[in-house]
Amino acid sequence: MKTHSSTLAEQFDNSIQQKNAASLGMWVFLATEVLFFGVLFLAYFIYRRSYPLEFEEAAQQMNIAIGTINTAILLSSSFFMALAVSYAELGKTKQTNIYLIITFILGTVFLLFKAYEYYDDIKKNIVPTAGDSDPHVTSMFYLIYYTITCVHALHMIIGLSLILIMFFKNCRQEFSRHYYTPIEITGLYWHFVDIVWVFIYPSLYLVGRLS
Amino acid sequence: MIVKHLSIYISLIFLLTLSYGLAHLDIGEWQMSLGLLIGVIKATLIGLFFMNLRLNDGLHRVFALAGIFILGALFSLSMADYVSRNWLALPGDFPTAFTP
Repeated sequence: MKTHSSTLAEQFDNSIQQKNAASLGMWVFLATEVLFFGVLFLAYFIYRRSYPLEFEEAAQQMNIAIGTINTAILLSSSFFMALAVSYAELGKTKQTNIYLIITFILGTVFLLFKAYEYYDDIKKNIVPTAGDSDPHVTSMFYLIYYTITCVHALHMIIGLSLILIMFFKNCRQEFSRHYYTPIEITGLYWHFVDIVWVFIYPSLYLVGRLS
Repeated sequence: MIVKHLSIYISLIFLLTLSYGLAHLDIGEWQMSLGLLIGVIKATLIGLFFMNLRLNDGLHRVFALAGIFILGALFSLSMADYVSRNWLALPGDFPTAFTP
């Protein structure tokens, strides 16, 4: 039984099978990304376990205000992305476009805040090779911080590009109630980027914050 | 449908506020574990509801759990390397045959 053969590729029996193949493929990719970030977190945890006091001291330099605001922004963008996918499922092109654009704006605001935070950090000399106590360990914290957040920001940029592509494809009426798979898997990628940040936030920002 | 997503979103923001508040309390060793636990709850909420793991068939959940399982293997085997060589100064360190 074939429905909408214009969007159904030849190797699939029906559109549900095609949709499942696409989303399962994206989940496999996300599993590899989990390992990609997992290694960075492993490095962080091993160093934190080895030098807890120096790490807490280094982490106090982090800009927790921007970190918290960024987490809220990213959670909101996930919410709007979920709405965009839900409305795409209903075939409502206009609402999908609106929510895709809101997600894109929120993601861009996140990156702008991050860029300002980097500028502020570098101005305060929070860079690898700085540090009052054991300089090697403090450098290590800042190195891990910059590596994790830069790699995450790179994933954000990729996600934002995908959202923009989906927006323009949606404007050209390429999606419908029966075929909205690219929007859904873009949503999966975006939610994953959000989940990674949800783990970055308590690890890097909420350390050593006793007032 | 907006309400369904909105309730999850409000829970996420509440958990964010909770983790921020907990960071400023003096709970010592539990700080890291609680922060990560809240992160896991948030990730589960996002995964189940925003990523439609609950709606989709079980195969999607298997794929997601497989990724997490392999991450667990990564962490446990790497930590086993560190702990068995006493590189982390953890309580209950491996006894060494040679005592200086």
